[in-house]
Amino acid sequence: MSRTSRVIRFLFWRRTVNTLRRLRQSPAQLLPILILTPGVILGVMIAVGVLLIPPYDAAWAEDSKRFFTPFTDNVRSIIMVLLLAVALSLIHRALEEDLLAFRQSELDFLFPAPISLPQILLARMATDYLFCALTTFTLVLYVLAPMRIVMPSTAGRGWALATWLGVMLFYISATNLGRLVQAALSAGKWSGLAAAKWLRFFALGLSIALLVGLLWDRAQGREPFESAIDLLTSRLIYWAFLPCGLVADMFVAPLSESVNLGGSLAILLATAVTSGAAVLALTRPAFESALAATQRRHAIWQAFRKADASSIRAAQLAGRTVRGNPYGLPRLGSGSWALVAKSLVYGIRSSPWGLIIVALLAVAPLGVVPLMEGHERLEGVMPYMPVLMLALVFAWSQRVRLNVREEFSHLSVLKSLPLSPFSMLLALLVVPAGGFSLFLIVSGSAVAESTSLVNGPQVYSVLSIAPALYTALGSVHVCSGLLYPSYDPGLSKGYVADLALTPVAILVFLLVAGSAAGALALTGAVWAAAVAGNLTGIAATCVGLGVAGFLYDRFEP
Amino acid sequence: MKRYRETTAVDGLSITLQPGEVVGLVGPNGAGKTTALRCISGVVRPTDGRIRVVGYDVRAHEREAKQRLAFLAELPNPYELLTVWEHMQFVAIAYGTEDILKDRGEEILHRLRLLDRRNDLVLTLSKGMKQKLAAACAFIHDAKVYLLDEPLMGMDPKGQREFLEMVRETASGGGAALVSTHILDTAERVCDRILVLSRGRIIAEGGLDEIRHRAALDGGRLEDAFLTLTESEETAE
Repeated sequence: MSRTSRVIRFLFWRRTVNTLRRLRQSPAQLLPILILTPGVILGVMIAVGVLLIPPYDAAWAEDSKRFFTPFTDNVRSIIMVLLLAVALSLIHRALEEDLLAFRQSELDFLFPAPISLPQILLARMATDYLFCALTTFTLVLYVLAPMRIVMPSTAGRGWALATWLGVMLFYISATNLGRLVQAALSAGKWSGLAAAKWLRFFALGLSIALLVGLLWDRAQGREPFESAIDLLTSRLIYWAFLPCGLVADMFVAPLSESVNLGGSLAILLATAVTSGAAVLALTRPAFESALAATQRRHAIWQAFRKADASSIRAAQLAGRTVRGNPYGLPRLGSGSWALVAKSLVYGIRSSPWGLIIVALLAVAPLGVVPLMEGHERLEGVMPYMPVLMLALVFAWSQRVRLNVREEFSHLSVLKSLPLSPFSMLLALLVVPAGGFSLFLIVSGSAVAESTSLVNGPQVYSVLSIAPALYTALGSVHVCSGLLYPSYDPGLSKGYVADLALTPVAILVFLLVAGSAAGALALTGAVWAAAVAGNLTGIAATCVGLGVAGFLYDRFEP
Repeated sequence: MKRYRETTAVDGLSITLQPGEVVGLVGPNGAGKTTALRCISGVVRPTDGRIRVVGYDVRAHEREAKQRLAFLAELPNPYELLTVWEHMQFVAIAYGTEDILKDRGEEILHRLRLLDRRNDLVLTLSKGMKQKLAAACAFIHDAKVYLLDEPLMGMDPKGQREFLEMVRETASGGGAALVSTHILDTAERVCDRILVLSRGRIIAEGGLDEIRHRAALDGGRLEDAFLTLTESEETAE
């Protein structure tokens, strides 16, 4: 046995044994695993069982096949889009030189040792392939099992196995291709970051073009989704993205007589093996391209351990070109306005792409909602839009906990500022509350203006109280952040921190939303709902921040 | 030379270590110290130039060269789910020196005051103890050349003293060490020769007197000479 394989086996074996020992001694980690594992195993067994049992009613199966055959292209197109998205995201990661990474420990102790680097790379790839096999097995299983229920006679056992293998080989090929790109980039002069940016522009442009095309089709009196499906099932797209097309074909094989499962599998296998061999042949560039990614991931992991969102983002941006603005912080005022300005700059700088996507999502209802008209089920959702918006405010306000813990990790700076706890905590809430409310107001107004299916006064009432409601809920979460400042990645503390003040948050939510709903029901006027909701919301915020300020004064992390 | 796209991390670097010699590598942040050590250790390949370790070319005879090298990375991250002793075992397997591990490993752990933690998982160790463990791992096999990147970071004074003694003993036994450090007092005290690196190039080399002479100083400490040299280099750029 070679020295390299002995090292790899020793590491695998000892780390597995020590992990199990550690789990046994840590109830906080063991309990969730003991609770979740039987559920996962049961789910997998049921899905496997569904795929293995013979059809119980052949006549019904034939009927169901006849019923589903017209939808073959729809299913195929959806799978094609998903596979394309996966492949594009892998290539994008490769261009950012982030697809192949090792552990920092491997970099420090394995790389300098006199052992075989190709074998280390092979072990890394084999581990990744195993993980890929398990992940795709679970995912594919949960897609195929329902398909097998509705088309039991023609969907044989071989189909399920072949489709899983197809998805796995597709993913492996795409990963290998990405690693080759990463290795080639690291060996050459060119950085992939610019290409990654263009790829993002391409994906964004494609999405916008698709939406505009669908709207154009609708304006021309055609069925828009049919045009999209025609495009995705065209021969041009099929040959341009052959591996995606082959896998998508495998999914719908029971509905289509023309699919050759064996042939498709053979092509995918050849692609995976060839690309894998090419990566192994480029051992050195593959290793060197992984150095920066390894260090970046290690820094991100360390930041995750601290659960400090700004450290995580800073680690993610390390090595990228993020330029500051030459004029410093915007001058919004003095005192706690400096905190508002800082949060604003930080938010914009840390995720400009995220902001562009959020802005597009906010105006997307103008295009998407008209497309939903005429679809019975989608139309049925519309009357519940105000309730959905309120639920969104409640759910999203919980992010304040993250922001607060992030700020409190710089407590030595905060505490030394000559500001009252109340104004400081309010300043910490202003940017997340303002940003989210702006998004909700734009997207909610877009929904209300683009369809008559929603109740306009109800929607505008919700939008008018959104900032106050978010701030009131946020003040409760600030208290939660002050009571449980240390967010250990271990499950137990996280659960306690998240659940502790949830009943109080629900009470505040009911008070603010209830007062606005009551005023709207009594007067029918949006302004009355706005006045009632905002007054209750501001009062709740003052009480919440008052309590939080009291806690802050006594707060020592 | 090592180049990363437009950035030249190390340029025209020529270092020869003699047996029994401890050489200090000092320089400001980003001077190329870590890159230089990584190139010599075989972790990365130089864009241009050759590196030979005890006669073995690192590129052509990578494993033979690495067998004769010991590399202690800056802020090392030992495997957290191994115990201290298992970590030593793992390194001994990697270097093929399991036969001497029992006696030698225990002695090294004893000297660095880690023996009583030998059965503890690495994740329970403090930063300084992890540094000591990584340092201990560097001494398990009979290396001829020691590449030590900021080896004293996080170590307590007693650990630092013991570690430096181990380095000196190794040198007395015919080994050579290249120590990258920011602690100039240590470099002054322990190293036979000092290389001052700035922007990937050596700007001064020799004993303390030669470095002082190069900085045009009559007396003073290494720190004064270092600051004079690096500041004049930055001004010249």
